[in-house]
Amino acid sequence: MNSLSLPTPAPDGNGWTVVGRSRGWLAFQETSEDDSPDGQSEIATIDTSHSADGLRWKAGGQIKWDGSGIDVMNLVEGPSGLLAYDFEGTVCGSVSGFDLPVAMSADGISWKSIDDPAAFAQGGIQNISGGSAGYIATGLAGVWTSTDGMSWRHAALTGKAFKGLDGIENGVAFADGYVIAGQTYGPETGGCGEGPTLLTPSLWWSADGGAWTRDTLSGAIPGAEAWMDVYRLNDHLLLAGESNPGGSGASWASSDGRTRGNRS
Amino acid sequence: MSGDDELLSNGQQTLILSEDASETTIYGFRDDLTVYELAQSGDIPDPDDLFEWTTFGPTGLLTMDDQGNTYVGVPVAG
Repeated sequence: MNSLSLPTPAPDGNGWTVVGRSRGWLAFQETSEDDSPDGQSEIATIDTSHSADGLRWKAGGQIKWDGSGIDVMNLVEGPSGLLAYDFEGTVCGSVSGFDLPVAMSADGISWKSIDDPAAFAQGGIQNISGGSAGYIATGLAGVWTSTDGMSWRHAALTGKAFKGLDGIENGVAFADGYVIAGQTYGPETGGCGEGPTLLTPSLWWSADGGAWTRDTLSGAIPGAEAWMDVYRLNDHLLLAGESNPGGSGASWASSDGRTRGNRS
Repeated sequence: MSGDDELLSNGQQTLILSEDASETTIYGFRDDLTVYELAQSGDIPDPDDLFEWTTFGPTGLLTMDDQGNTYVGVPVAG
C-alpha cells in the first residue's frame, strides 16, 4: 500500500464513510440534523462525494432523510443504479425503530431518498443486495425483491418449498435471479428422535422473486443452532456457508443459484 | 472465514479482509474458489490507527488512518 494525503474535497477522517463500487468510490457524511417543519422529527442531511480512482474527488448531491445518526455503510449496485443504506440508522416514525434509510442514484452524483417504502414499513430489514437481476431486501420481517429499487414485491415464503421454515438469514441478487439463505425444521429430530426438530441449513432460488424453489444440498448438517448465509462474489458466482456448532462449516459455490459444488 | 473476517466486494471481485490485533491479512479467490493470501508491501497501515472502513473499488483497496492519511492498495499479479 502507499500512503497519500488527499486534497479537499476528498473525504477526511471526520465522519466520512467511503464505499467502493465497480466504477469508483463514493463517500458519505452526515453534516446536520434539523427539526422537521412540524417539529415532530429530525431531518438528517448527508453530503456525498464521488471519485473514479479514489484520489481525485468531486462533491455530489445531498441526501435528506427523516432521521438522525445516519452512517451510510452499505452500497449495492443493481439494474437501476446504486442503492445506499444504513441498516443501523433510525428513521423517525418507524414502527420497530429499525426501518431502513435508503437512497438511490443512477449515476453516483444525484441522490433520491426513498421515503418510507411500503416494503420496509414493517421494519426489520437488515440486508440489501444488488445484482443485474435486481435488488433483494431481507430481514426479520421477510423478503422483498425489486427490479428498480423503488417498487418492491413481497416474497410469500409459503408452500412446499418453504415447509418447516424457521428463518431467513440473508439474500443476494445476481445475474440469474435471487438466492436466499436460512434454516428449516426437519426432517431430522434431536433428542433420540423425541426432542425438538433440528434445523437444516437451506437455500432457495428464484428467477424473478415470485416463484421459489429450494435447492438440494449435499452435506448440509442439521443441528440445534444451524443456519446458512449466502455471499455474492460477483454477478455470476455465489458462495453459501453453513454455520453449525456441531457441523463441518461446509460451503457451496454456484454460478446459477441452483446447482452447487461443495467446496469443503 | 471466521467471525472477524469481512468480505469486500467492488461488484466485480471479492476479497476477504481478516483483521486481528496486530495485522490485517487480505485474501483473494482463485477461479476454483480456494483462497490465497495477497502479499503486501509499501506503507502498510497500522490496524490500530485505521478507521472502521476499508473499501474495495475498481483500482484496489482504499482505507484511511486517524491522521487523515489515505492508503491505496493496488493488487498486482504474480
